[in-house]
Amino acid sequence: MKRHLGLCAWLLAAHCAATAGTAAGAFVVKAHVKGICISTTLSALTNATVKVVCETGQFVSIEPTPGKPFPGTHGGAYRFTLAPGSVMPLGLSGAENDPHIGHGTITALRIANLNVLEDRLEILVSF
Amino acid sequence: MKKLTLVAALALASLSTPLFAQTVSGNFNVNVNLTAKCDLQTVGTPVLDFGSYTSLTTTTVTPTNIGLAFRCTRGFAAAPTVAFDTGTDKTSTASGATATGEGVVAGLRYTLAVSAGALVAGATATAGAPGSNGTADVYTYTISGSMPGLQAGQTPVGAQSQARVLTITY
Repeated sequence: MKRHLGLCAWLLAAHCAATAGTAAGAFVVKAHVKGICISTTLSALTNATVKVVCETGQFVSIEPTPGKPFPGTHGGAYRFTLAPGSVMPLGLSGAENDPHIGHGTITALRIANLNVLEDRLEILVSF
Repeated sequence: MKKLTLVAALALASLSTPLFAQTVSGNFNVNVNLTAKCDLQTVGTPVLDFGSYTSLTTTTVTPTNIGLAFRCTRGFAAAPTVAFDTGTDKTSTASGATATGEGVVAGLRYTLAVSAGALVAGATATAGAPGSNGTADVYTYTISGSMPGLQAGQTPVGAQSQARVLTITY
């Protein structure tokens, strides 16, 4: 086609302009996004499951690996489930006889004051 | 007597028949001004479907290739050049008969590539054969895509799409 166009330019450019044209075809690029949240502070630790699925973009849960200690020593939010008949995690073994511990969940949230080092506010909700 | 009768018959016959058969020709030209053209042969709008992409997945997602076919005037000396459309979240890097491009759908960056059109030559027209008008050359372009992993994406989650266009220049 280059040879053809070159010949056209040499002969009669106006005539050959009619031979150049374009044609277009439309197509669609599609993707189905599934949301997910991953803890960036705990994802490298062992003995903890910290991947949180957020299909709706909301926090769902963070749980320890069953039968493993629940660290509770890192920043972030926690929700720990005490299921009926489950083995008490080692981290809570000292509280086995506490009559206030039963089936349910423990939710903890640690908030750091960035203006003052080591100044943290912890919120612990047990039920 | 017989000879006289034969001579008379030949004389009569010669009076009713030309002495020589002759032809005369007139020249004329058949002219047409042909304008080259291509148009889209593919019916419908193909979908380059990346399927489900879980945010922050570590794997690269590769969809099934799609094709766009164009029918063209027969006998182009070189394959048409191609390019993707450009605009917001749409790029194209043309390279003659092939092109690459990028885009963003659902907050996920993807790449595109189109190979040179595969040519299926059309049939030539044949004189004296009714209905043998010939067929067009067909160029079929295969479009592939790739979506790198470790991308967060953009809400809302769910199916999202982006309209794209492949343009050929001949």
